Amino acid sequence: MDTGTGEKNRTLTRRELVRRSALFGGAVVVAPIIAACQPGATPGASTSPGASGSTAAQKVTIRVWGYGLDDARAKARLNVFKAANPNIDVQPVGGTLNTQQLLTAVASGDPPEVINTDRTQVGSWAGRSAIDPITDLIDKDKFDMSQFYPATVEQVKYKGQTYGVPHFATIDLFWINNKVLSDAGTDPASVDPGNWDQLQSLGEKLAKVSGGKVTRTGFDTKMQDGRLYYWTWANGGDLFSSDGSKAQFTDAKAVEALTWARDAVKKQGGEKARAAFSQTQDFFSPNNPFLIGQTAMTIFEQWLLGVLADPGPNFAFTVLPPRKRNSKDPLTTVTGGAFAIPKGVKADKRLAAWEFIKGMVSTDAWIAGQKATFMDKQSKNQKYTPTITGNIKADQEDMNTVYKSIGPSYDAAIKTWQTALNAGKYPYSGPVAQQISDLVTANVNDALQEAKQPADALKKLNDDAQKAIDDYAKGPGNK
Amino acid sequence: MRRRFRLKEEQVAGLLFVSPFIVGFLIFSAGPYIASLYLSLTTYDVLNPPNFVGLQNYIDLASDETFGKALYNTLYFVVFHGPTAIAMALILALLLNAKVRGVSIWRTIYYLPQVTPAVALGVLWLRILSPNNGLLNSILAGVGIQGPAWTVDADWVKPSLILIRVFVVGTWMITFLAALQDVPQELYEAASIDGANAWQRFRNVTLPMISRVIFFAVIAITIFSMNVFDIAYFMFPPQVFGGQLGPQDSALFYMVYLFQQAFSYFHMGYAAALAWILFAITLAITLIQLRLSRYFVYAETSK
Repeated sequence: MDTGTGEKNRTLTRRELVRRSALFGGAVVVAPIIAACQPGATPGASTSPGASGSTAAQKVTIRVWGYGLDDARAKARLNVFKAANPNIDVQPVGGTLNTQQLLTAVASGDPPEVINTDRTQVGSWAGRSAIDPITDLIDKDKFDMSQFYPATVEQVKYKGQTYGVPHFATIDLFWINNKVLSDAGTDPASVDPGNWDQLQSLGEKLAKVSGGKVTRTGFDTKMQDGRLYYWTWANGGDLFSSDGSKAQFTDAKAVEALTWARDAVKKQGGEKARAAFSQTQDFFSPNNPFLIGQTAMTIFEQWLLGVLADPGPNFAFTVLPPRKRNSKDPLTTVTGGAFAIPKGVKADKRLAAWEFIKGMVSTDAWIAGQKATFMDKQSKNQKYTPTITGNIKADQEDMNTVYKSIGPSYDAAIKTWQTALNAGKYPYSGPVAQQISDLVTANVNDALQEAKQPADALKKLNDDAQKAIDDYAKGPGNK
Repeated sequence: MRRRFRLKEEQVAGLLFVSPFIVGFLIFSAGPYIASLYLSLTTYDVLNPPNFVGLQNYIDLASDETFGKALYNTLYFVVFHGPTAIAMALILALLLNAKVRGVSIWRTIYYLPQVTPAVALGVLWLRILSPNNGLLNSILAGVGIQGPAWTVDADWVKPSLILIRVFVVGTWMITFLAALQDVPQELYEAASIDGANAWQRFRNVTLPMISRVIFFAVIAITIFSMNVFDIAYFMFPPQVFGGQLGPQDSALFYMVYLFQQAFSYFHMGYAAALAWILFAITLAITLIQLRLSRYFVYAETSK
């Protein structure tokens, strides 16, 4: 205890305690900062040229973002590339490409050498100079872009330049649960995806609704998930001018398509009831709604086949390429990924990045990947279904040699892919793609939920989409 | 004679004590604050140099319908979540303060939602609130009530989020419990001698004595509510609701909109303006709360 007298020299006073504690606290904060500011202060940091990147043996290290090694296909493809390019060290970073991470990496001048991005984002990255065109590299090697499906090649172009190489493809198909239709007295073979009247009436007939609750969806247009593009195209309209500068959502064909889809869901219990029902479903399980007959007919992507294969190898279903309205002509939406090279990649690394891209999308690498996936599935007693790679030859080889028949429905489904892929179109992929995509689904859902009339929702969508395009045209970052 | 300004020794000590915050603030926060204020006066997409546009971003906010919707959703959440969360935390604290068996077990159970990741909470509550076969509507149906479509009806989305957050009050429950245990026992004894019943003891002794802690909770919960993000984003991810945060953007809160503008659309300048407007609104609400506190907060002073 401080007596306040002559004991100061031996006993710690309150004031002294405060002073010493504060000095210690301050030192604890300041010392590491000072230490950190000293050159070479970071433990383990090395300034030697071989610490990263190239070595004396000219080994080049490239970082690939958005490409993980979490499945047999990815590992096998990379192994094929490594065997052919021992001087290129690849550092893959998995998971979905992180937008914020890429933005800051490019802005700071230290980008990864390759990114694996969604193809709809290629225009966004290109428009903001986050990725460089690769037309010079394609020309230099006379790299054959016709080895990929035409729609996938068009989608990686921006202002006449090619910015990426297609990597995987996803297409929409028309799915019919044979048993549900047969039980309802309808021959599955009589369904025509181009006959909208039939689809709407079949949807109503096949749906099960009681007490305001849906227990079976008759026909799911998937309009709520961004299929406005497909239904408008199928109806003979388009949502953008050919150069992407004008929004055309008020096109009568688009209004008609949305009104038709709104009416279709209305006749099956309404959008709220449909959404509530969908929340009870377990898609990636043996209780997949299409497999167990909770959905009779739907538009959906081709990879649904892989979800169905293990729990339902004997499942009887019909898959058709989606069609244009009142026509037998196929038409579908094609999406997928692309490899691209960010801006700011040094020349030697850019060449290594290009070698990586070419190697990874080669037929050899893809087939090695598909075979590895087949073996992996077989070892786990699982069924193998093909994947659309984007490489036409690799896909044909996969379907003809790697894939082993699961059942007649599966075999027939896979045979439709080629027809659909040749009739593919892709959604707006310009510099404001994300904004447009969000606007489309938000306004379409307002119409489906009957918060707005379809024409009003599309008018608002058109105004907002056009504003987004015009704002971007004034300069990047404009709102 | 001019007096030279000199810090007293204890003032120096005080500054040194708070130096960890000051240094951290200057290094990690002050720069970004100033930068964001400047960026709010520009159009900027991170990759290209900012373009100075003056107050245009703030002017644009006035005609932005989605900004209005996000602000309304957020204020709705603040107004209804704040009082319910405080009431729940206080009730739990009062129950735990009663001499019941196994208090530590109950305390742990009530604290669990606080440490449960928002993703897990979101998934769990989506199951509980599922309109067709959720636990809550099944219970309501058992007593003859047809439950609402919590997660798909735009009118019920915000109440469902408030309901979820009402159970995430572990921190405030513990804080209130500490405050309750700090109330001098002799005050209760004196009140009992004067004939006060349990409600009167709570109303006239407990509440005034913990009013400062409640006031602190009101301010903190208000600020938290203004920044609500995770539970809405994880329960109603735009991927599930087709680009919307819940049906008809009913769960589009201010911070979610700000995030969307910054990192989905690269409108960094606009997002910075949104951030400063949120700061101004939060500051205004806090100042009003401070002003009103004199009428509700019991100040124990010795004169």
